[in-house]
Amino acid sequence: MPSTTAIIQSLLTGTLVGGFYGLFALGLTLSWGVLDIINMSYFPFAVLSAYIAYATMTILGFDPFISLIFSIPSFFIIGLLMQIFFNRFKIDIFRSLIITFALFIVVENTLSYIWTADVRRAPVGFLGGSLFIDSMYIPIGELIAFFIGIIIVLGNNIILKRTKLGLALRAVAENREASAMWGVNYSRIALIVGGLSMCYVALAGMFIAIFYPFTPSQGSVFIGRIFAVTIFGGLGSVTGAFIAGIILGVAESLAAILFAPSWSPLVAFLLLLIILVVKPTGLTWR
Amino acid sequence: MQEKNQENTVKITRRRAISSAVAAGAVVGVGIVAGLGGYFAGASTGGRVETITQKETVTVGGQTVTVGGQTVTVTNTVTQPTTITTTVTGTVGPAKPVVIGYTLPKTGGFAANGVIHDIADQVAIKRINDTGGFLGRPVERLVYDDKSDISQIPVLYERLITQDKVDLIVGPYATPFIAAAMPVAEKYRKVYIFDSYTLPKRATYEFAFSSWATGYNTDIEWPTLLFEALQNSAGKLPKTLVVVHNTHPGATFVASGVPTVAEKFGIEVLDVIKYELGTTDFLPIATRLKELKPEFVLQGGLVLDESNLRKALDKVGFIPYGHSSLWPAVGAVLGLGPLGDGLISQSVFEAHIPFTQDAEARYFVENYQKLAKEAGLAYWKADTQSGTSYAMFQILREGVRGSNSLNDEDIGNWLKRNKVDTIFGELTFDGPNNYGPMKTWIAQIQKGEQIVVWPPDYAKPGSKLQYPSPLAKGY
Repeated sequence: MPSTTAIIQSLLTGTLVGGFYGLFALGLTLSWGVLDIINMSYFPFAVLSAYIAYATMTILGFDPFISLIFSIPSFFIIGLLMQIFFNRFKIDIFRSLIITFALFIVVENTLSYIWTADVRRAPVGFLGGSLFIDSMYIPIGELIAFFIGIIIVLGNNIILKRTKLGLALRAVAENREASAMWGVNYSRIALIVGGLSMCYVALAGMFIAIFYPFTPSQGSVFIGRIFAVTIFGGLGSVTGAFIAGIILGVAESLAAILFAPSWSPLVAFLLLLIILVVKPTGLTWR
Repeated sequence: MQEKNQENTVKITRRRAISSAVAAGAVVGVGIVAGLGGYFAGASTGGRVETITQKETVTVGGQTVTVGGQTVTVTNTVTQPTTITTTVTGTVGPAKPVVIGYTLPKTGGFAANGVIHDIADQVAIKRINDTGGFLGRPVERLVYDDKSDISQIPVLYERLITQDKVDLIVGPYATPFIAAAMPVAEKYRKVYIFDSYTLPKRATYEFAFSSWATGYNTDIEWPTLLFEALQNSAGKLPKTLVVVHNTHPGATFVASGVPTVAEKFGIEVLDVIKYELGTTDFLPIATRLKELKPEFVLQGGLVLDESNLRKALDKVGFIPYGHSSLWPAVGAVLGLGPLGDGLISQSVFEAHIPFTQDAEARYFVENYQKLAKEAGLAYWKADTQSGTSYAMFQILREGVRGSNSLNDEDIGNWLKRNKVDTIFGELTFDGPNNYGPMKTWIAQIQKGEQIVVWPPDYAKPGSKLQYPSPLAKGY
């Protein structure tokens, strides 16, 4: 039986690791919940961001956060272009799944072509270390990801509740046709959300480079978990996704320490199953 | 003698001499065409006078002869009494290549190692062709991308054998995939050589041969060798250990033998921790290890697991005195910098003496590393992954040449009876499930380089296993 310290430690690290899951799910939940686009290509695009961070560290010798100067604007533009395409051809939710899955393969193969399928591990320095308080540890990279997630959630809530853009976003998420009747320009909102979602993907991708060794197919590792977090958190809810990520991270961590690490996926997805049966809308009010 | 010849010449009529000479000329022509078909790679036209070097069944209808897929015209001119000039006209293309079909994960989760195997195989095929091909015919690969998807394997191997009609097959990369193709190979009685299979007790097909000499009882032999290395090379055994392994069948198999062997060496096994294949978050495992504080962590992992656990251990503030694994992606461990130092793993080949004392091993190292660098691989050194892949084609090459046949059963039977020289030594296939003795050694990362440290016959000169690790902390 693990000690109380080990259990508390697992709660702490599970929360921080879960924060990263939540951060990763932000793009998908916005795209799926607000735009009815299930964008599978976010996963290899996140890996592209990891490669940009890797190149920033290994070629330029800069901190991985500098890579965001390149990746966030470029990802925003890619998100815009994708959304222009979706708007132009009136892509519905099911076709979006197929189209973005094709894009998934194209992006992943392009990454393989450029960087080969070889494993890369970025020299992340202190970001890969921990802060120690007595026998407890706080991993620095995960802590930063967690706080960035909190800042995004708070910022998102302020925008949603205190700005006209937020009001329009909520209206589109609630009922696209009705919001149009009240003068909301869906196409414009969709472009902003599409671009913003990709910015979150860029951010999550940079943390992949900090936390893990990776290959072009690394995005596939996260598909199940990020879909679970997105659905669990409630489609379109940034706050819900972040909290769902934390719950999933804690559940996995506790299962690993109390039972065995091989139980982690089972416990996490069992939890998801139960919540979906009891409350199919996840953590949202809808 | 000269007189006798002169006498015979007088007795043979002109018509009979021409008739006999044409018949003899046809045989000569057949031989010439067969020789041409077998030995000339480039297209050629015009007349030639050649020596018979090879017999082959052909159809001679008038003066048109078909050999090895080539059609040429043979004209025999007889000059009395004994001189026959044979002229071959028409176009003689390259000899029909021998095609070896298989799959590799060029995309998907296993692609990181797939690219290593692909490059090693290119080098092996070039070597085969540079040394005469298979029975005088050039050799080509037909490689499908299995996308790291095991469900594709039986379908693609069926296609290779029944639709593409490849001459020979070899195995794909990684244990589950090799296992998936084995029933197809067995169904069509194809000789089946593979390079990275870790379940020797399940390789029951009579013509299945592993280039990786794991030995039949690797679950016992590998931990025994590891503890012998600690005892003899490092001079110290750990008192306690924890086994950490993933759900990969090969890793599970090897890990299953560790507690029994550890007991024999007087080592207490504190726990056996099992985790899912594909785990990325190793912090809970590292936290558990920090609590248990074993002197040695014996990890049954592969590819990225070791570097992920090593990183997580550093994050929790606990590094054990010793940490061994099975099949890590060496590049990922080296990417950890000094933190990767001391990790022990299995190896059959490293690019250093004594392995590179073999001429073909040097050829392999030079050519593989050149291509791997050109391909942009972060870790471009020749090692176990690439070595076993190269050796797979060495074994096939020796099987074909030794049996002088492209018939699968001939090759398989020859391999069972003979020893094969590979870049990591002589292999035999005369034990259970065609496994010979284990020839898998103890390697360790030391000062940013993976080297073999045990046994002495294969260790890099002057090296020894470093234990306990100077990086150890958290006790």
